[in-house]
Amino acid sequence: MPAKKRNSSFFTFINLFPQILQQTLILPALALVLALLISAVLLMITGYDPLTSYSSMWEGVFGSVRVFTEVLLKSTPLILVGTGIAVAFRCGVWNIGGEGQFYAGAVLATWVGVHLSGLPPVLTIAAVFAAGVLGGGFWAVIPGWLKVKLKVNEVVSTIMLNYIMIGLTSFLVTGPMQEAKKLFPQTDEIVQAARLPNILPPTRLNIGFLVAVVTAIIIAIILFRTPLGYAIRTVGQNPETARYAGMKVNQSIIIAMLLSGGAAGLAGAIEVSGLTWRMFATISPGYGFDGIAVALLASNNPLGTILSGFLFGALRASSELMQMNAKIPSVLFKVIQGLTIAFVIAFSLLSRKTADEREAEKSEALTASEI
Amino acid sequence: MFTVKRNSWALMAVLVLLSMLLVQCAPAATPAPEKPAEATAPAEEKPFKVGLISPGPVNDKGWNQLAYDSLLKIEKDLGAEISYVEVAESPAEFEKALTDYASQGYQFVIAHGFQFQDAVEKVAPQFPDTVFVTSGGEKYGPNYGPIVMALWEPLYLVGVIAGNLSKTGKGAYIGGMEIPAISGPYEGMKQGFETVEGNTFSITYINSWEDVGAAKEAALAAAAEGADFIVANANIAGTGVFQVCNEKKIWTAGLNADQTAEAPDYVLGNGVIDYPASFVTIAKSVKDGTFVGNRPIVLTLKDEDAVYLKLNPKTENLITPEIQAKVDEAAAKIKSGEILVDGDYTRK
Repeated sequence: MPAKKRNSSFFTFINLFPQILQQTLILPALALVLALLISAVLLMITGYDPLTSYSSMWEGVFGSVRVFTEVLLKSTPLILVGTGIAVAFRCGVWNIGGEGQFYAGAVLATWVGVHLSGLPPVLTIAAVFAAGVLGGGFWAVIPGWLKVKLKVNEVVSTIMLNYIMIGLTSFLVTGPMQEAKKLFPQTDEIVQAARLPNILPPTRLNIGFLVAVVTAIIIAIILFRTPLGYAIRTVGQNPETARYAGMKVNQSIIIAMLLSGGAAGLAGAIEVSGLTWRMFATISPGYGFDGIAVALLASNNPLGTILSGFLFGALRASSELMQMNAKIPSVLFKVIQGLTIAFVIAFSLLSRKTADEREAEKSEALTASEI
Repeated sequence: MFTVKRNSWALMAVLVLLSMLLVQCAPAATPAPEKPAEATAPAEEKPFKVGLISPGPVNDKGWNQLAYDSLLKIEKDLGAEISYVEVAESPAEFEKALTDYASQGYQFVIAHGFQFQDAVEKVAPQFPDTVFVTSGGEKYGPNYGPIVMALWEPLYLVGVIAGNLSKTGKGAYIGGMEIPAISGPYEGMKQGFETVEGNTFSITYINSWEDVGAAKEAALAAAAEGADFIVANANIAGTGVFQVCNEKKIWTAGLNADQTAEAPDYVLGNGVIDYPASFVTIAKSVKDGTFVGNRPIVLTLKDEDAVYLKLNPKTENLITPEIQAKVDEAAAKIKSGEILVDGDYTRK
């Protein structure tokens, strides 16, 4: 008995905090610290100085206003894709297709951005965003529809649709959508009115980051404060119960996928209209996949993705300065990222277990006293 | 279940303690090697700092390795302080990497690919003391520009040789994708091959850099149509073309590098471009302050270390004095500007 008490005392302490804080702040922070400590060992074994490495990492995040804005820029697509994936996961749909949905949104947004002229900036940007949401949403509804109508496993279909969309993009930028000069595999630049306003010149920070944060908040409200969100979550926990309670299971799945893909598509639209101004075959360095980790790190809470998206954005943005100045290979950096995710998952499982055990103990004690 | 949990906790605790211990060892270990570096620092003048931004792993034995080898050569030949960073193939990251280098006082930054040119165009004006070079591309300014290797020029010469040796008068070029780096060299080779009246030189794009099978198919199709000179410019996929040439005894050529070893009996010549030599030349001009901007940096046959024709000793005896005379004449005319070789997209 005493052994057991000591064992769970750590999580008893953790469980004092409200659940949302636990899931979105404390556990990821602890996981990060542990991952960094273990990575320090790895760095030393491979012959790098962890102190220099971590100080250039710090420089890469908080070194100056400019690098900090770069972290925010990097977090923007991660927050959006992560938020979207969180919705799908809450609904019990394993949407691994964030990457394809990001591309779909970027392609449609670019098309609108290149061809729409004559409208004031506000309307043009709204149209570009709408195109992104539609593109991503459409690409996510396909696997959703296949799941509800034909019982096609969405893990397989979303992964396959990633490849199709990425291939399609390569085709488009070398074919129908290629720049007028036909020189390089890229589209023409989008019109001036479609470019997102800069909020902190001379940095590149644009309103995209704010849009991402607001979107995450809106989706959190939909998920936790509306009947639709309740249906989505119930379907995710137990589709049979949901059906028994009179909820429209199939409809919830389709809407969850629409929201999920729409958020990823919006991320694509923001990337094009805020940063690159044109479409390339390799517009995403894997945001769709990182988004899964972002969602998991936030326990599938859209509000949490703001923080975990920032964390991953910081990791990614600082990896560059670590390479440049501490000469750390980028692969070692991926190890740090992987360790962080592994620790978060381990931590959340452990804390849930202790919470369950305490519940069990309590009810045991209750039954004992009743007798 | 309970014991499992305790074990995992113990394991985690051990790991944490272990890592903490090792972290504490670190500061003690590191100051030692730093001291000699400090001692030598005052003797040197302001270091020449060169940064490389590569769009993939620098040990890929291909495109990015070329840049990395160049960087190492710059370090060796010019005593430069070097650094490299691998960025994801995402244009959004390019500007950040460029600014990170320039704002840290790097004098020369190599952005290894045409895709960096938009970012360079935006960043370069903010850092007039840094020279930016993109490997490919078309945009240039006072302190930035693309480095363009005129592969089409030596290939024109290979084309002349092959055009004169071809019995069917048909040649084929298997390209990876339709980009200037592939179509330009094709145009030059075509021009050389078709200096012999009646010759035709065709092109097929396989839209892949890896699909060896597709390249092989394309080469077989060209052979079936009577081509007796088939070349490839499709990175690793090109090995499919060499396979066909070896099996069917078809003339071929090396592009970009000396590829004689791929088909020792059938390579008629190689159009070689030497990236390390070119980058050292440019880096040296930056270091000496003789860099001339506002133009694409085109390296041609006149830059003999960087762009040249390399023959295959095994097939050299096929080149009759007549053909050799034609090649020499063409080379002289290209260098003097009398022959303007097709393919130079910077002229367009």
